[in-house]
Amino acid sequence: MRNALARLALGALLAAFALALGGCPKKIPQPEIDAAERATADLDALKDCAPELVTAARAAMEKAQGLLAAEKYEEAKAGFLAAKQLADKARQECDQKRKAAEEAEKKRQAELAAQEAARAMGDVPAPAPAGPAGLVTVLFEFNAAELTDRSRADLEQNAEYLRAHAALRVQVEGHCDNRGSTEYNLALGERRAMAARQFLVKLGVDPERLEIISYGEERPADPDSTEEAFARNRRAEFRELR
Amino acid sequence: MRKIALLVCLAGLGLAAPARAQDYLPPIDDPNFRPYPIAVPSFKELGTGAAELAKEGVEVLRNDLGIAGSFKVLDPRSYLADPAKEGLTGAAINFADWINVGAEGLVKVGIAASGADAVLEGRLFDAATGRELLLAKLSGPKQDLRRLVHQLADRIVKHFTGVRSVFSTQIAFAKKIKGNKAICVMDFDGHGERCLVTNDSINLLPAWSPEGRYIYFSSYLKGGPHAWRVEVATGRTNLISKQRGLNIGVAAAPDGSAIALTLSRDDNSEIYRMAPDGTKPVRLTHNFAIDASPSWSPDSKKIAFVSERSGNPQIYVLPAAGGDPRRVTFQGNYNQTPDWSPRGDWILFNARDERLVYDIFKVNPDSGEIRRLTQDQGNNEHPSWSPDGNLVVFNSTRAGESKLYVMSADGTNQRMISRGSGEYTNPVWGPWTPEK
Repeated sequence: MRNALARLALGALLAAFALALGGCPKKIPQPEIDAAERATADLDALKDCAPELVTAARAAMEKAQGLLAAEKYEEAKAGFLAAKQLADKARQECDQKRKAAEEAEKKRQAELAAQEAARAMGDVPAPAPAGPAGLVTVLFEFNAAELTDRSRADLEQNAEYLRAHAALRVQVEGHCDNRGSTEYNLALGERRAMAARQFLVKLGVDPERLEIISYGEERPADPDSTEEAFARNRRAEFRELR
Repeated sequence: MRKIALLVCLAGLGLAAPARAQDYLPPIDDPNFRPYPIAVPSFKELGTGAAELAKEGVEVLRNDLGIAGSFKVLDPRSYLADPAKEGLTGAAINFADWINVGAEGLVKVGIAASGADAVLEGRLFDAATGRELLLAKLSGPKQDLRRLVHQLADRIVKHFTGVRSVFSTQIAFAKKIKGNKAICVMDFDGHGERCLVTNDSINLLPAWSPEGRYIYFSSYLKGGPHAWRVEVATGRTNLISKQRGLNIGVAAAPDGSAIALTLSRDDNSEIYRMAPDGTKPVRLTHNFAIDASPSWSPDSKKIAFVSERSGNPQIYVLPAAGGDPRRVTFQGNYNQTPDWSPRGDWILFNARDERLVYDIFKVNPDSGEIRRLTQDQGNNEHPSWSPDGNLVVFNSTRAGESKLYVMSADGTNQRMISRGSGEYTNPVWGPWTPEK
């Protein structure tokens, strides 16, 4: 807005000059003035991304206008050209910065989408939905549903938690690693869930609060095919029922 | 193998003569078996507009005969004759050219486009004598070209074995899609894949009804898992068994009288027999061990299954009417997924070997003899017989993600048949559909 006004004022000034001189003076560098004005019209929008160039362009413009007022047309012409060049440079720099930012954002979005797709395909495990804090996953040995000392200790901790949260009902999910047959692993996963449930009941948890389901090898905690992943996948997990 | 007398129409001469005994190939696992070398030159385009059909058709035929296992399809690059120039009938063929590249059999096919239809004329020749053994004329919509060529391949195989081959059959399987599993089917060669059950849940363990109308499966759609079935033609599903606990691994009796499956309603997985619609369950196993994976004998009188009553999973056989199980496998300590052959002589299973790798074996249920079918190629599991008992489909991780493969009954000629991306598991070979 301010630039538009300045432009009007300048136009009026030039018109007055022209009238005073009784004709358009050939020496006024009108194309350069117009170009510089167009180039500097949006300096405000550029001042955040190219502050130094914007300041320099403004200074050049002021100086050129001063020279114009002083009728030093040749010097004014050079000044307007310089102002235009500086403003153009500021715009270029801003464009470059904006494009780089857009690219980075696009890349970030693509990565997010790829991760989402991989998760949907089951390649990357979704972040485990937070179970009730305090209910820990219990691990099992290969082809076994028998509790180990470690899993008994974990179940004691779970029993304590369930005693402290008497309204809580949970689903005990039995899982297997992905070795062995689909059917056998469904049966084995159920045995693991049953073993965990049975021990909790022995520790005083009301059996009515504990439902069981077997997912066999269908819902691995870790999709890798390493011994570590297999060990993490042979488990009973506890999920809050709502 | 049944050596039924097969009448071959000697078209052109208008004579009917019984096939010579030497036309029959011994079964693949017979000691006298050797693959029959056969040449399958490019189809000859008759008229115009059939060039694409000819190109696709010959690929289908070569692939079919290659998978069948009974044949060695000779490399087309070695052929001496120019298929574009040589004729299709005996008098127009220089058989010496075919004998010289090692062919004993020669298949010549002419193909034409007639409006929306493809018209095929296939001939099978004995290269040594130049005798025409078979003439098959087939036509149908162009988009059914693969089916037409499968029928031609079926006729060729039947000439040599006396029984239909499997080129018109389908394979059902479970496929991982977006973290869930769908029940899908495809042609035996991996083409024409389509999914019948996609319900954003885990669906597993498909099993065909004997006439191919339904596919039974297990699903978490409404918890469970429960046993369901889907009508293949319509995609309609209905719940078969939703008892407490597991309702998994349905196997249909070949005579259509019953199904067997695993239930855990008594707090332990046991084998049950039911009516095909899921009613009238009868418990067949009574043991506090895991019992699972039923598979019927071809006469529907016995059921093979897995039990870990000995301490680790082994294959057992049980009378379908109920009774004492008999242990069949004594080697290894992790034997699973039995599938009884349609001829009754072998039960496929998969075993974990001493290196903790899973491979496919077969055991003779009477003698206990065991043969190994896969080795040193990833984990190989869930074998299922083709309806003619000549081929086996299974899933393997040899190329990374689990894919479906087919091999001959002796373990030779293994090739990947699934074509898509994603994880393919639980393949089961469907029955023959009525012969056209």
